[in-house]
Amino acid sequence: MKRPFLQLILKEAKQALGTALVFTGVLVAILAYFVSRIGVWPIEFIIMPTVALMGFVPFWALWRTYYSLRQEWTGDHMYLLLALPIPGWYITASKLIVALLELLVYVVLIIGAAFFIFTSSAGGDVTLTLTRILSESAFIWTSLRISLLMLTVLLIGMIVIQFSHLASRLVSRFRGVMMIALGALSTWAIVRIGGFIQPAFAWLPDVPMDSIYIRNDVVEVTRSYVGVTPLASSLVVALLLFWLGSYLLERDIEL
Amino acid sequence: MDRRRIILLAIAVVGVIALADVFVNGVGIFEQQLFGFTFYDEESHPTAVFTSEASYPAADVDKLVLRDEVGTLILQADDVDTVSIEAEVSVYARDQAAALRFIEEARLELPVQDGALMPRISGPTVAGVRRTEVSWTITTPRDMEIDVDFQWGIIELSGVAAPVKATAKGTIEVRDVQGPVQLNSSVGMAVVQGVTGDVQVETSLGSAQVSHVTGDLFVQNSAGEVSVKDVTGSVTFAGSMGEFVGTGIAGNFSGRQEMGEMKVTDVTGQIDVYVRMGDAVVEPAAAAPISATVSQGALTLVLAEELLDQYRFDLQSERLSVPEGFVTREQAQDGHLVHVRVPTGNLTVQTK
Repeated sequence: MKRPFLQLILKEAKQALGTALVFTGVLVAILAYFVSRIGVWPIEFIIMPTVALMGFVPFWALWRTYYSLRQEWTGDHMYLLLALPIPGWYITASKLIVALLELLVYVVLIIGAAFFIFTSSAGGDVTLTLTRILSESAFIWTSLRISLLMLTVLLIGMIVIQFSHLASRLVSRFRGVMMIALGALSTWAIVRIGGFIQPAFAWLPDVPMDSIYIRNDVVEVTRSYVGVTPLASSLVVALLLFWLGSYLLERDIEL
Repeated sequence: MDRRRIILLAIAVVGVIALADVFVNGVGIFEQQLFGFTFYDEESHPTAVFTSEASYPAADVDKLVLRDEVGTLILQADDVDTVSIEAEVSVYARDQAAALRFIEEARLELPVQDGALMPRISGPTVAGVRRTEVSWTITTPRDMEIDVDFQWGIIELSGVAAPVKATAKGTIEVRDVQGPVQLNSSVGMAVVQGVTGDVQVETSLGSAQVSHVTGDLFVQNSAGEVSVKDVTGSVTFAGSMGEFVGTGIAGNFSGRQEMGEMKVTDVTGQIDVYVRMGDAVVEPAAAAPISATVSQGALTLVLAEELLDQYRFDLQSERLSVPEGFVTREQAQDGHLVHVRVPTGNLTVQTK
């Protein structure tokens, strides 16, 4: 088998295409409606619900993680996947990657629409101002760091969902209850084991975040530092869960 | 016992431990992990400060160029023949030792290139030094050209009789200058007072206050308040969001505002106003053509009684409010055209 991991990702992407198109269609329809309200509604009434759409994205990512695995069993594809000469983490990782890519598409779509709505209703010079702000290196780096931290939190959540679903397949009955219980247990493990190994990550540098204030017409730039050792230790435990889930899928899951 | 049962048993054991843990220690254990996140602001006070002074004969230089990431400049031009420079360097470091190691080797340098004096602080790379900020206090001859560019900072210039160019995100104040002035304060406040020469002010987020200019003025602002007072030449304004107030303009006025209010009073020359969303007030000081369009908003046109005979009116609005007898009065056919278009809001004509 040539490049099996890439092939799995492509297979996963094709499998996700149907629901992704439906979601994208619904999202585009909602955004198009908001765009059509430019000049009719006050700008705040358009921008706020547009940005609020972003709130659905993390919940969607968690649901997608669960649904993509469930799909394999309901469609009887898991037999085929497990028959392939590939490690279990190929299957689990490809599902996480495709879910994250899909998430990226929705985020870009919503941010793009919000940007378009704002600039369309405010005029060309505001576009220039926004462009200037967006091109500020401090703004770009801080946004990237915040996005990365949030993405890490979301990834941990996705791994918890994935592990819970996989481990719940160890039993033949009460899988729903088992999955909820395993979700709680995984969260406990991440918090407690993560807290226990936290001192081992004290060497990690604090992450700088720049803020811009205008106080009494004087611009102040302050740099704050966020210590991320709890996140790092939680991520390590989550990665262990990821490995464990993949191992169970490969060796012990009931088909 | 098969593998699956062993795994389930292990999960059950961990589950029991987890339940016991939550039962004994409470749900506060979940918050404890959050407490591990630390958050602190960078030092607001420098770890160490040192001051360096130098001077340079002005005969060899005709321009002062200053470039810095974060800085403060107070520049006073005077009747002197040397450039005097004082640099107060604030060092923000992890500890005192690191700051002192930096200070030991830091120097105020005064390189000259193509007739431009370019003061700068050079220092070693020391682990633990996070950043440095320089407060410059400089005295130059009056006829020395000034070019300052700070990434962030405060710039105060006065007494210069030569071209001035200043760029900073922060506050820029320019007073008593004879020569063209070019300011760019993309974030913050720009103040220009008492300039003989053309002035160009560009700000993005912030405010601009311009007064007593003998020359033409161009102001561009994206968001914030702009106030213009007493300009002998023409004034051109382009803004996106905010408020514009202009008064005492001896030349022509041309202004375009996307969102926000625009108030232009005491204008002697031709007036050309466009406001996309917002209200506008136009009050000429002398008879000259007026063109005003307010797409979404109201316009108030205030005209002196004695000027009315020198105008002919083309007022386009569905909500027109004019003084008594205004409509029936005879218009001066060779008078200056007042072309006003207010499609959605009130157009009010007042006389005084």
